[in-house]
Amino acid sequence: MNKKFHMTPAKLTAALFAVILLTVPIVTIALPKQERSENENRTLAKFPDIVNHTKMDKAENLGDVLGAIRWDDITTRDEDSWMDKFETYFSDHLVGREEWVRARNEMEKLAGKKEINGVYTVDDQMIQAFKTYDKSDVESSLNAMNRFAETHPDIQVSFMMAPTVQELYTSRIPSYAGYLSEKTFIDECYKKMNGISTVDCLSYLTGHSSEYVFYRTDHHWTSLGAYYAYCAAAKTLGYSAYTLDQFNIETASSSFRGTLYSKTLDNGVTPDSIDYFHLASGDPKVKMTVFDGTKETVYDSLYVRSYLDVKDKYSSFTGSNSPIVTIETDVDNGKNLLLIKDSYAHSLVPFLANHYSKITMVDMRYINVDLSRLIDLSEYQQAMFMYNAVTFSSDLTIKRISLTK
Amino acid sequence: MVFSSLTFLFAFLPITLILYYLVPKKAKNVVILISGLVFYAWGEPIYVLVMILSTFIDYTAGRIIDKYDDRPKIRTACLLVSLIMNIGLLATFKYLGFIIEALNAGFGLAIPNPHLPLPIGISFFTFQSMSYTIDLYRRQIKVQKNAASFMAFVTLFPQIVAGPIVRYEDIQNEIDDRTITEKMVGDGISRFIVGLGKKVLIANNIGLLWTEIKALDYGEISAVTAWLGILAFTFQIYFDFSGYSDMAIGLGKMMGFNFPENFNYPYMSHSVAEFWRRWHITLGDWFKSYIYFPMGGSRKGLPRTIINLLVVWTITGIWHGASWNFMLWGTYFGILIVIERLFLGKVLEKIPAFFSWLYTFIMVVFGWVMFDAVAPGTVSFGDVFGQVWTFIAAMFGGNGVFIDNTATNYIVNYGIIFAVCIFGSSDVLKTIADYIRKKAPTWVQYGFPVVDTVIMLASVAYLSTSNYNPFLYFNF
Repeated sequence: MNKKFHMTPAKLTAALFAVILLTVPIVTIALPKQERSENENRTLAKFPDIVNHTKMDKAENLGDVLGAIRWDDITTRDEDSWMDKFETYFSDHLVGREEWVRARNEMEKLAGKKEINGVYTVDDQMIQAFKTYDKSDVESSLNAMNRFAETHPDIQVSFMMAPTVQELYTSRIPSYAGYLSEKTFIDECYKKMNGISTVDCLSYLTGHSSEYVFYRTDHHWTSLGAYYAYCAAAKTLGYSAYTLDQFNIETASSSFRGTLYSKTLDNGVTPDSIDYFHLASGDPKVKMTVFDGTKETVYDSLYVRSYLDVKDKYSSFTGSNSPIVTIETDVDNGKNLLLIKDSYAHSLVPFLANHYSKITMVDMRYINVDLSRLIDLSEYQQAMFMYNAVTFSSDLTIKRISLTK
Repeated sequence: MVFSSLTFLFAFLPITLILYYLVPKKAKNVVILISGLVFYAWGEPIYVLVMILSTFIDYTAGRIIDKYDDRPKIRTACLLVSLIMNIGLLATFKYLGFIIEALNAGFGLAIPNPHLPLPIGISFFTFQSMSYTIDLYRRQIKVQKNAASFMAFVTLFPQIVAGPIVRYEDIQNEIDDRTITEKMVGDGISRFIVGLGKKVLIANNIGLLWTEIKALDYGEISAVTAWLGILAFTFQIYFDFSGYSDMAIGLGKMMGFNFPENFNYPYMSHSVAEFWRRWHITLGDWFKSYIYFPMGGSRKGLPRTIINLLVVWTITGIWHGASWNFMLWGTYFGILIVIERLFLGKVLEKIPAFFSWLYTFIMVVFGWVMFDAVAPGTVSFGDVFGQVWTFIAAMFGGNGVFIDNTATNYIVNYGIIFAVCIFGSSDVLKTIADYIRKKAPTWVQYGFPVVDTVIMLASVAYLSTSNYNPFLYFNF
């Protein structure tokens, strides 16, 4: 009888199945766990605790030990259950997580999907979708801004809403894709402003749409894009903008892959470059104080270059989003600007800093008290709301500005 | 726990299978029992006690029925205890809230609704348990004296949460003595992977479309959008449900069990009656054996047959969930089947096959509108009927729009997935695979493991990265 091992198809199936079933969990357990995902820019799940450690450390008998177990977490069936957290932990730390995502996105493309994770890729350009918004949410943001202007007659209030990249690519996204017109959205919002002057940066940007005004792999505008917005705001804010040839451009990085890349992990799109615009005549001296909610950190530059070494390179413009960032310059004109903003303002501020003694950026997403308890509003002659259309349409925190006394 | 989760695939399954294969034959049922309880408790940490209680009572009832074989009254009493307990569990957890709401609405009462959460799979395990006591009472099967073996039958994890409804009769020989062959393991794995792919790659993908369309206002959507939406659900429920059954049958095979088949290309049917012989087969068999036949089936004259059919189909409807839309759905099929029995069946046999297929498919699709186009939490019958009506009207252009941008966008993004669905719900692939198995040279056979591995890896890629992975049978 021939006892030689014969690999039948059934055995091969079983062998391959066993290999997958065993290697994936073993390697996942064996590999060191990362705390953060750089690419997704979020903290990964920690292994869910099944016991209360403070209680467990004090436990003296079996009863105490049983009492230290988080029974509520184990016996519930909602999304906070230990079992659901375990699944989240598993998928967050699964071996080769990024490769799985990439594989999935490739399959999505094969299956004919044009939009992956809310990102549309066309001609070496990633575009984030602007498809829907809640009218009443937007309404309450606008009303809150009007009220702010009304209750602070001493401050000259303005509003600049930036378009995102899709507005420049309208002709290349098929109309049936259901993308909303940001121009229409911006116009409608501007119409409802009372006592607030509006800045039309959209037409400046569309006028330069063939230039590198938006990142290819990130949802922000480039420094060049921010420059055109700076020109657009000149009249309203009352400065005369420097011309392009008065700047020296430093390319701080040319390997930037931004937030849209994180959603698709598509390596087919060319990485972006991060450019700093320095005045040829010399940048003003600055002192930038970043308040993160608990402590203050002081920098002597608007650029936090340590971010150039990590994935989130856009944060090198004035650091990542913080509740309050105060920029004091040696521009000796006594003009102070309050900037109520999203992250689009970060690459705009280096231009504005050339014209102000002081600029304070506040991010309403991190502030839920009366703003006047944190800063002295009487210092500011001007205030500007600076948001991009997508953030503005969905941000529910802007309306907190009406708390301001 | 559900099969389509990382916890199941990479923690529960490898550990359970290793233990199962390593322990001696006698201990295998203990592994089944313990793993089944863990599997169930993972999703139902408290209600696992309900299942244990139900199992204990049915086991004891079975022992007494067997012991007092010559005492009809005791036997009947035991059967009644088992039936009352199982149906009582179903009534309490599944139908109490619905009945209270209906009474409150109907008679202007204000009975408080306790809002009991529904234990996962309760409709499956109570039906399985009942099949044991009823068959034992009818002397069709032998008693199970080993408590662990009986409990293993109920807690057998592959079929516990979403079927197939395995009757004790189906596995009475295998539960105590089974051999696991190399071929069974290989076939089981392939079957499992095919099921996983059907669920994760096809059902979840096409289901996303239905989720989007379901969220739109039925009073505004174009005709094409309405059709795309309900067709998406038509395919989602088939690939999801039959995928679960495939996974269950595959896992059973890996462990030495031969579960009954549950789906047989239902969308290829040429009559509604045939559809129900191909869709959720084990449920149809259960109702036939334990309700339709005991009521007299079709042996008591035409009027009685019609009544029996309508009753059975209405019950089938509400088995799927305690709300008006499921009752509507069941009664609708009851009426269609009565009509076929009266005259339409003969007509369908005579007309060209394409037309009988088209008739059946469209009737089934309308059925899915009743089944799922109703917003969750819709309580009154009027609202249920109104939503179904609006949706069906939209399918016929009732909103005055035939096609719009939304519909075009869906066609562009989902066209290929629809093609895969149509192809995959026919038996073309099976025919090709069977041909290869019989006729192609041996080396081609090695293509199967390769294809399986690709499907498996692709499924893991989707599982580990998608947020959308619904479990459709919470209502059952």
